[in-house]
Amino acid sequence: MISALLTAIFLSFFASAVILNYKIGRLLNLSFASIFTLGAYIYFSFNPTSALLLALIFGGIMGAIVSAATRKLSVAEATIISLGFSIAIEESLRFLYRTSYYQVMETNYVELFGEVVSIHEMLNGAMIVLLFLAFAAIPLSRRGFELKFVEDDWELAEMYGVDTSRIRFLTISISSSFICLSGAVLAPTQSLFPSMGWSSMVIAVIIAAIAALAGNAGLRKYGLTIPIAIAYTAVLRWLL
Amino acid sequence: MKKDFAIILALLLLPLLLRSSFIVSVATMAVVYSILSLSWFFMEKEAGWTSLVHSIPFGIAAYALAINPVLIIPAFLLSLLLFTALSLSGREKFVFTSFITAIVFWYFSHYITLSVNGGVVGGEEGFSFLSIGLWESYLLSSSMLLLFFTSFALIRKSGLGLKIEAVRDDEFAARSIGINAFKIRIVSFAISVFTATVAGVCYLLYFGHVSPEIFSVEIVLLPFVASLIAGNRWASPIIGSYIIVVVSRAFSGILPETHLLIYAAVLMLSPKLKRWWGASAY
Repeated sequence: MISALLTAIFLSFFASAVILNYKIGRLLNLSFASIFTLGAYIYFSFNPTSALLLALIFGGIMGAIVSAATRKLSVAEATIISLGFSIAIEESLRFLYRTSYYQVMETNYVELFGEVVSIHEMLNGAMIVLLFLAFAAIPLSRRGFELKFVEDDWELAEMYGVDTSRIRFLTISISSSFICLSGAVLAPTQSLFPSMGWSSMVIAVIIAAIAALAGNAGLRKYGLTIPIAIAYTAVLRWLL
Repeated sequence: MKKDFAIILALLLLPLLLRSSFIVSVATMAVVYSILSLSWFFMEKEAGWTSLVHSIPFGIAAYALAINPVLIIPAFLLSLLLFTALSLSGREKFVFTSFITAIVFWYFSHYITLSVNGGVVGGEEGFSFLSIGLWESYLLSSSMLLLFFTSFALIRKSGLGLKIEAVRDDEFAARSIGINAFKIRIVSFAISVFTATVAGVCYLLYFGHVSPEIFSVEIVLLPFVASLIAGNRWASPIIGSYIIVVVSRAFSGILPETHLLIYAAVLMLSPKLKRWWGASAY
């Protein structure tokens, strides 16, 4: 149950990042799939502490590149470019780690309320909960109003003098950075292969699409990703 | 159009003149993918819908034929229904709704199994079917390619072609002059899906085997990439498919990911390429 809840929190975070990029960045950021994988491979290649830092940096750099490459393009064009980046990262990883297709790392487990849970899953869950709390606090600040304004009506926000390009750049870079970090933290809980990020990406997009039906109002759509993700993991547990 | 036809005819005749089994095998693969790319190009250029879901009619047709040839017609109808349902999201969102659908389908295709004589077939392994042979496959798929290419040229000149173009350019304006835009959309989808279905049939008749890889991202993106790398003419998707197949074959021993790296580069440059080809057409 705890493990399923932690998975749901992760999926909810992934879906929220997808929604945020779509609303602010005006693209379905498919590069997340490979940025997540990149984080996992960084963790595999370096010692844990530097890997987490590197994942945060590399994720941010990748996000910045995607943001710059997709500026002033239509949603469809930007989405296709992000897909190109995703494939480029995936194939580069395939090329660099050619010796073995699947990589497996060891993780430590703890018993929590009678259930064995991976420490890395717990760490990722805690990190995401903190991120959500920070994100929920943003709307109270001036930057939060800007973010909400851009999200609601990007053109109007630009007319009122809001620097939409900067907000877009920061949104894509920071969300990519945390997706990469999440990939690094969760690396020991999964078998690593270059296309591993796609399964999470597809589920996140589906959750995001359902949550987006809640409309454009404030944090509601982001909050809604949590019950949808929980419902998804519950159905998955029931099926398996 | 005549120049395009001459280029395609030359491409198709060349392997017959060289009479090498290896060249014919590469050319057959290129021709099958060319039919798929041509079906995609029709929908993109003529009807104005950029699809990333053509792997579904292509793959479903191959699966249907391998399981039971009677299933081909339901497979075609199912694909058409899927395209129509996805198109309800609008032209701009169609790109990514179609892509996500194609990826979801790829995952689920691993679970397509059948119980035969107490055993289970399908799944990761896929299904087998009797191949008709190399030369026969080449002649069949080449004939189909020529047939579809000519048909598309005729459709473009017909009243139907003009209606499809009118709906593509401005759906409201087309409706205001009495064109049933939704019906025209379905007809254009039907033409494209039927062509992709035939490509899937040719694929199975040549390879004699179909597995979930037919729904993979590589096949999803192939028509898009093939149509972008060789220009904006009607021969472009065909030339592009040849380039991809030949390059991936040439580098398969050294760098098997070459074609995927080409995909990535083309996708990243796609808006610039589109504009460049568009500008060079004038």
